[in-house]
Amino acid sequence: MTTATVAELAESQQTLIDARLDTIDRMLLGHVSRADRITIVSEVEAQIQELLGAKVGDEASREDVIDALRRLDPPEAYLPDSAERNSSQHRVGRFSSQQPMRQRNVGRVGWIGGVLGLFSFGWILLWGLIVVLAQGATATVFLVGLMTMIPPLGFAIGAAALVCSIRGRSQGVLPILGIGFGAISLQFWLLLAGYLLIA
Amino acid sequence: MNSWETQLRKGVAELAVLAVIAQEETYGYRIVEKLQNLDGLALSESTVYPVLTRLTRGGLLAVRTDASPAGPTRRYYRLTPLGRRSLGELTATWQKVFGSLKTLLEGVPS
Repeated sequence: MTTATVAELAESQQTLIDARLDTIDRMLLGHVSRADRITIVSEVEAQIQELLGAKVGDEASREDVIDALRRLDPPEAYLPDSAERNSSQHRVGRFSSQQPMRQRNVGRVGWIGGVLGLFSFGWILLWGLIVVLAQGATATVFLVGLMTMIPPLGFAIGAAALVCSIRGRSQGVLPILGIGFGAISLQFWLLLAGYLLIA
Repeated sequence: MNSWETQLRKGVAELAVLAVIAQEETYGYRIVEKLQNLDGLALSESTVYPVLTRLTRGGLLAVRTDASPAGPTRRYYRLTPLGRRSLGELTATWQKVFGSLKTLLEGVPS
């Protein structure tokens, strides 16, 4: 019995396969551990090779690859649906490991970090507005009081935004924005504090 | 396939996968092939592979890798003692659920 070899693949065919595997990997990102993600993707890759290896001859054409990919589930099928997330806490096979609830909490923390980051940036703009108003205002004491209160609050909000956003950075765009704006906010208030100390 | 049916099949996926592996040590794609060809289950790779990794992580399955005729490495799965116990418990639960439902449905006027 002859041993079939790995189907010979041109670069373009391999690119098609890699694109599908990368998409599945992205669907799994944040929902399963890295080790599990690697294993699942490698199993899919092995399945594709098995499907291609079943073709006559050693060379797989582009149509063979497309046909093999068409026989697979779409990448979206790897997204855990809400029912699966709910059932992870009431799993029939209780001996198996459960999806950590902290996945959902990390998402929430990241969202909070993003919102705080945007808020901290707005806080900088607010402080600037109050500085302008304080130049020729009558309620100087009130405005000066606000000017001295806002920087520490702004620093605290910026720090909270940065911490929460870093914690939830894998959960979307908002935490990334939170990291950016939180960092800007912290730098601004630190520079301001340095300037006031020197001046 | 409606949503209830999909969820029902996914709900028994672990039991089905353990049952296939209990028959003999086997690899991922072979498990998918067996389960896909069963009309009442029709479980595909997007369900089976995550279940396999979950069961492995939970200690119910042991894995060894070996080269395959097709070329890429195959992961061969077999039940651990914990997996065999778990299969027994899941089977008992399934039979209890199935028996109760069967009784209920027998009482439903046709």
